[in-house]
Amino acid sequence: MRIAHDRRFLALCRRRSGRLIIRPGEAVFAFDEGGPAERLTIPFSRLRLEVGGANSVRFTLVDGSLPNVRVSTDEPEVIRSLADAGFHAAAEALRTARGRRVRRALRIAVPLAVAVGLLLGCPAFVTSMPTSWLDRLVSPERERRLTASLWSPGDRTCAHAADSTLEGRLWALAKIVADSSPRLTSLPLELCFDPEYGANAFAMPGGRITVTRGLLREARSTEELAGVLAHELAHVELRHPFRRFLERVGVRAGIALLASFAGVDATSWLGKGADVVSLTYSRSDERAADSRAVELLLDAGISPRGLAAFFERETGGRSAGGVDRALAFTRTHPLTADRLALLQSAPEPAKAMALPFTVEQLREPTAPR
Amino acid sequence: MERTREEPRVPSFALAPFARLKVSQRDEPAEWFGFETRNSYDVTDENGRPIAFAAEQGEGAASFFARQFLGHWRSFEILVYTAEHDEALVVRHPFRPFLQRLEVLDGAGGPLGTIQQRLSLLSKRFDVLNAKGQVIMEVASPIWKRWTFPFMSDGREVARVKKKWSGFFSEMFTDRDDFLLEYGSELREDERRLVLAAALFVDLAYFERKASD
Repeated sequence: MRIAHDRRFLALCRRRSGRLIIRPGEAVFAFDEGGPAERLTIPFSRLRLEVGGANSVRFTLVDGSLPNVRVSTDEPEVIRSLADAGFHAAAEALRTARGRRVRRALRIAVPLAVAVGLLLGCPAFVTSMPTSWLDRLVSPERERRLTASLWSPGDRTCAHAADSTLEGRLWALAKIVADSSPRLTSLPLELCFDPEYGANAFAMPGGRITVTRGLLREARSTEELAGVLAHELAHVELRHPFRRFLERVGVRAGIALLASFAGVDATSWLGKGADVVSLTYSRSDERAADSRAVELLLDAGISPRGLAAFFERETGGRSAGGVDRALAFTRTHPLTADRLALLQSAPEPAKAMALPFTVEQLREPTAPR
Repeated sequence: MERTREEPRVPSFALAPFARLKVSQRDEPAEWFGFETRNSYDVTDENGRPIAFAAEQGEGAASFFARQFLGHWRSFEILVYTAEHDEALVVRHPFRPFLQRLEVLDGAGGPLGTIQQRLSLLSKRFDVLNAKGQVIMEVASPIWKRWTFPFMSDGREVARVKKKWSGFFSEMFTDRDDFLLEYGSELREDERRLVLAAALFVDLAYFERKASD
């Protein structure tokens, strides 16, 4: 006769499948492949209920007198059935099960929230953080030390001071501009020459500025070159390279976290996030660097019109070198009409500085390509 | 396990006699140059005697490109053969955008069970399910023990899969892996076969790298 409380659940005993039947006063397990003799009966007086499971919540009914008799199921309704059938300890097990589910959900939800936060919040947070906060968080000196392991000079030659080498002379020119800013004079600066024929200049974390051979050939005056250096120095002063680096690492960490949820190994993405050479700046970064570059140039006594002329010529593709050399510059320094207008409308300095080099002196002898 | 000439020969594919097995991925020279080749494994006992051989199926350009670029997102099948070249197990890996799965069938095509990856952040977790879809073993390997995979049932460890260190040179240039399987005495034959399939799952899910990495 089937009793109203007679509930059946899929269950396992010693990893053999069967049916768990809850009746008033007792739990019975019937093996799927066993006969009537292969039934286990656990009266409630001996029943102990355990809540466990590594990857999901599992309920195990244990015979207190025969601890090897263990019947487990992952169906949560078994608890209610036990309670309805008169097993008084079921309520405690229900609370334990709820607690485990909540903890498991938090173990998933919290890292997921962190991952999404990194993905969505990191760019906005890093971009909008005042420079003074960033200085307190990670000083420029620490930035240089942190990023030193990610930086490989490759074919570049670098200078940390003025000397007779090409990069040393570039450093001296950059120093003339940097001296107009107390902040820049306190930052570690490194000037690198890259023998690459594409015209380009870029600032990297750690106060490293690179100028290519192609750019030295494209520049028609020292004022143009000084203007480009001022633009990159402005990026350094405003810590744009480090902000973009932090943003990239944060975003990739978020992606790696999300990917690991999906069982996808994306840890290699973290390494790729440390690629400092190909950082690009937003339009707001470029506009900010333009404005600051104009200020630096005026304070140093150098005309900003050189920078305007260089930008206009290169991005208009009218360089003597042709389209291919301009492409590298435009790709990393997209010019908009408002940026060009800002540069072209900049005033002349009150007192002009006599620059110590001509642009020819800052070029290497022409080498056959 | 040592056999003398007088001892009866064990059935062609029975894992019950063995407390330990070694699963070694075959080293393919093409992997040294960044190409993913079809996965193949040797299963041997403690004395190095071959017990079985497992090989990923799939020839032709489509399979080749799937291996190179899709990695463990591709669907494929691994056949496990006995030392006598009888088909003992079929392990199917269906396409899953995330949370991988292996379906295990016996040599006659009857379902044995499934290995199912579980959602987790800092540990490697998967379940071993029987043919009826019930979880019979759970594996949760914490991040600080990434080489060890204990199989738990009723709160007790009933089997273990451990990755063996292959040597610095091999680890650097290939994703060839060796795994040690340790069986508890209480495991039945079909459960041991599922643990063997789980060892292949561990390699495919957690240690196989795409050629682009």
